[in-house]
Amino acid sequence: MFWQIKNYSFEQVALFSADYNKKISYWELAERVSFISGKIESEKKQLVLLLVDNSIQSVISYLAILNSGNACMMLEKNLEEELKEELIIKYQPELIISSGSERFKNYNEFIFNDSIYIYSSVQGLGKNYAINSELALLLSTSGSTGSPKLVRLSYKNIQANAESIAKYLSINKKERPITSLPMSYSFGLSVINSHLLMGSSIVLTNQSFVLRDFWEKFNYYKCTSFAGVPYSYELLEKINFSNLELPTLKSMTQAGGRLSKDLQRKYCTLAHKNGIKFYVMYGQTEATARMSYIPFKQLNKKIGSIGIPIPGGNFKLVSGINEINANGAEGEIVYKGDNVMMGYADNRNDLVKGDENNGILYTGDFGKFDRDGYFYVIGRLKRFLKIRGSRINLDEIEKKIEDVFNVRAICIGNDEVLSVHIKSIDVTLLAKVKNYLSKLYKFHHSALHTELISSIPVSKSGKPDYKQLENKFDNSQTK
Amino acid sequence: MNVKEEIFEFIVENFLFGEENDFKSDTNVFDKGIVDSTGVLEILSYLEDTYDIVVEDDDVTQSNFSSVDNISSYLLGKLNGKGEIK
Repeated sequence: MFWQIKNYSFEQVALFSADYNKKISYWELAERVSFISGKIESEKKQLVLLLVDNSIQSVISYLAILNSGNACMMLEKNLEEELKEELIIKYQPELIISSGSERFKNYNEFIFNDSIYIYSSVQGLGKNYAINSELALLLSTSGSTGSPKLVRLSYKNIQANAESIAKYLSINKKERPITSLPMSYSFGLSVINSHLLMGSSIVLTNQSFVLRDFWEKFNYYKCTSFAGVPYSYELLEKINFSNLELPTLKSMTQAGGRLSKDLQRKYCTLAHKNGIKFYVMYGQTEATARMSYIPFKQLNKKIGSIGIPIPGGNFKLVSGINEINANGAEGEIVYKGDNVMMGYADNRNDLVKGDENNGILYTGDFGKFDRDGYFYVIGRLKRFLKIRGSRINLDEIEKKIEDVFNVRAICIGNDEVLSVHIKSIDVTLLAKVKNYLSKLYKFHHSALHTELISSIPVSKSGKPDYKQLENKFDNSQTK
Repeated sequence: MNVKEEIFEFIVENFLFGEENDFKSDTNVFDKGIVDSTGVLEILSYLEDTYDIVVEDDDVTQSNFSSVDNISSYLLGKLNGKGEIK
């Protein structure tokens, strides 16, 4: 298991902190993980809320929780206080670990060790709840938006996905990735897991890759790979990425949504020209991270595809109860593999539940496959958007607006903009709702549109007619 | 309003939704999570459009963009080079 750190090398660096110019070897990592793990072990399995950034302390704490046998609920350290508080109330973690000094209602500082702060509940929170012995990790499906709906991942899930990823990316100990995504995001965490598994050295930074400093560090630490979501690759365009001299860059990976065909072609050509492997990949947090990839040599022939299943995984297409076997026929993409989550959690009660999926995930993506067995996503069945790498649950945002402003709202949109249609005549709500959502979810205001509607269109079944609003919204966008 | 005040106002309006609270001209906008990757590019466009300068790729650094003080120092340096101070 990657968290057990079998590679006790004195020489091999496990983690570099590019922000603090520090490094620790695998031997030192194992020692520090063992120390923290020993401090939080208990007879009864506990829930530990881990607030992370891309730091050595966060990686040590994460591995320590896994080794201690406790379950880890991982959230972004910079998450809005209101959302953090909401999640603490719903999940009642016994312990909270952070790499910074913070204040939490009803928690006292319990241990401080080399910039790792451990807080324990003063009211014995969580003591009446059991946790399933297989549960290792809880991740948010939405990255930074703090949705209370979490994905339950087992020890088997995270190990299986790390092994598959390491295999198809041919990761070895000479690899040196840099953290260009948050650790709390399943894609970002998969980079860490798969490289620890293979004994590679990981370069940690919280710096944005639009700054030159990031790329200077990339070169200074001789990094070999870069991982990004579609929006990362759009931003790389704006900073003239192709002009950067990165002699040690060997591979680039993309997941977290659909990268435009134009950009896929552009990066495919750029990579080919510079002898870099460019991988377009597909996944969901519900599958720990990854489900499929396009082998880099095939990319120029398979632009627009989500590729083939990762080692150990399988896809099939389903329509109703029937499996579809014909090339070109369409259906829901269903994935099978050891990396499929145990299920969702909405609150602390759910953590006792076992594996509800048995290795099968209905992705909610509608697709087809070609004669070479490459899959293609045509659309989504569920009400999710993916704006700038963050997955947005539209139903949840509607509920939030209703709770806070006491008005009905209908949310639609595309991967560029979230459009909120508020049933009200109060024009001040336009700015209020926009500001509220921007602040709460850290959306850029240009990714938000608000408008007032006099009534909510309904379909024959009496449910909101999203299609009608979507057509109207699409027409207004193309004008 | 001088350059520093203008940049301060731009950040408060666009990144803090008009709520200054404890934001100061030396607050590190990256450490505090106020400005992200998109934000850097937005500030960059604002500087180029408002002050008619060209921000070179190599100038997009932490030290130039981490606070209102640093952004305004950078901007004044650029404007001085052009012989214009607003």
